[in-house]
Amino acid sequence: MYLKCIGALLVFISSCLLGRLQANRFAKRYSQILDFQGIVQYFETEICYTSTPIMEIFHSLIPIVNPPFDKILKNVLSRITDYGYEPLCVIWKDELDQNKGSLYLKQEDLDILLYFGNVLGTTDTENQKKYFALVKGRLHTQLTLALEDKLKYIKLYSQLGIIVGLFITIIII
Amino acid sequence: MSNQRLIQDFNEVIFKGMDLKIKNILSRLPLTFLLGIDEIRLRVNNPLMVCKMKEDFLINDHGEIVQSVKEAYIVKEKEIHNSLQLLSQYSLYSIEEELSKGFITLRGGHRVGITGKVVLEGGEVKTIKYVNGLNYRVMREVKGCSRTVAQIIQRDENDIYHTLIAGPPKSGKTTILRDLVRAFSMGNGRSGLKIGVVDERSEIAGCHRGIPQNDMGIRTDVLDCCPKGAGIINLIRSMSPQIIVTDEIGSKEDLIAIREALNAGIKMITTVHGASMEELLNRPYIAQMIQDKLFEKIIFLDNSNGIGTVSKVIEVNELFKKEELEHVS
Repeated sequence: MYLKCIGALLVFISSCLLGRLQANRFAKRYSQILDFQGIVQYFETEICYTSTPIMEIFHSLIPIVNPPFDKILKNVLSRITDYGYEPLCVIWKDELDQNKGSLYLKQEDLDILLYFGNVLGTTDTENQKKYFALVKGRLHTQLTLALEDKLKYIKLYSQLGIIVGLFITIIII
Repeated sequence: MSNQRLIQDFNEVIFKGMDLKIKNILSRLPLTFLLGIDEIRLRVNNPLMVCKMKEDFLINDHGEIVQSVKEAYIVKEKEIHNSLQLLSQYSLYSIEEELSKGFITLRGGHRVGITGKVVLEGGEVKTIKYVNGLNYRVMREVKGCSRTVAQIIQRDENDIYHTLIAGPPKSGKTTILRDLVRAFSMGNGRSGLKIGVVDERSEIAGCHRGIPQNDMGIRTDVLDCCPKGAGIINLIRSMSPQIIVTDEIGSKEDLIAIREALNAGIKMITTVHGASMEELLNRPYIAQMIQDKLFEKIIFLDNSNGIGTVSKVIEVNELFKKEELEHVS
């Protein structure tokens, strides 16, 4: 009986944690889209108002952005600085793929990130402005959806974890 | 420029601004050949070409010189696009001004000419898009090449004649001008002179991000990418130069600014395109400058005996005396 109780308690805690972890994915997706929105905003200001070259923007951004974007930006910068013959869009896509595990984004969000890498620095200021407006618009839509999901599912998954945990505990006991 | 520095520039500057495929092809060229290259030309759907001592060479994809177009490596649009991205360090927007001028100056003073579809705004070139050709021009400083010209224009230890250096394209006007600036600025046994350079096309000092890449001497101030007229006036007001140097004059604004400089007691050295006196007099503002005796000496260069060969020196005062005599007789 004593062992059964310990087992049931462990199952209950694990279930709660699983529910919490699942719920956190929605919170993290929201915060990562928000972070990326900030990054786009930073690029826009530096490119459209001061024409700062991409590498300098990367340098100034890396210390102030949250993980995993700091790592992604750092890797992209080191690849364009050290090697420097690959197109930026290829490096960007490659780094996003390699860091997919730490990104809690949906495919639609990732598509925007990829698009951003494809157009970054490829045109004159006027067209960069248009691209930034497009990316920001799409990010805004995704951010609204992510917020809705966050509000809807965080509670749901947390409670689901507890309920499932309780259910299994009752069965075990 | 030493070979070592040139090799370093090829590896760290010129090749870094090229598509990987093109870079790999050119790196296979023999080193002695590579070091003599004046231009590397990439044109969409045309053979990869390098120019050396006024001769064109086609290159195949193994980095060998070939005779026929069929054997040569054909440059693709994507390679030009990639090269432009690398040249702009992935920031095309940051070289808009350079694109409107049609060239980018690289570290070391090397230059890349750009052709493509020109976008106009108010009748002026705003930018170039759909780039179809790149011309990498390798910069070489020829130290000491201006000795003959320096002797001609030196009036005394601290003074020179107002001088116009004329010659056809590729006659070495800018190379001579650059060396003159360095020589007068350094002094070399004489007292050095304060020189202001208005470098409208970044050809004299080869500035990269405002910093001269060529040795311009210790008493030289450079205004980079500045229109000559405005630059001359700025230098007179702010830097108290003894000599002002510009390249390729010819407009009304240049005439006004040169007059201003002369009135301020500043000596002028400048260049102009023109192989003969007739050609110079056919250009209204240059003719006006000559007739107004703004220059004391006109030096004609050609490349009959190597770049920067002095073919003729005209003393403007003598010229007018002769004309007056002819007129009287």
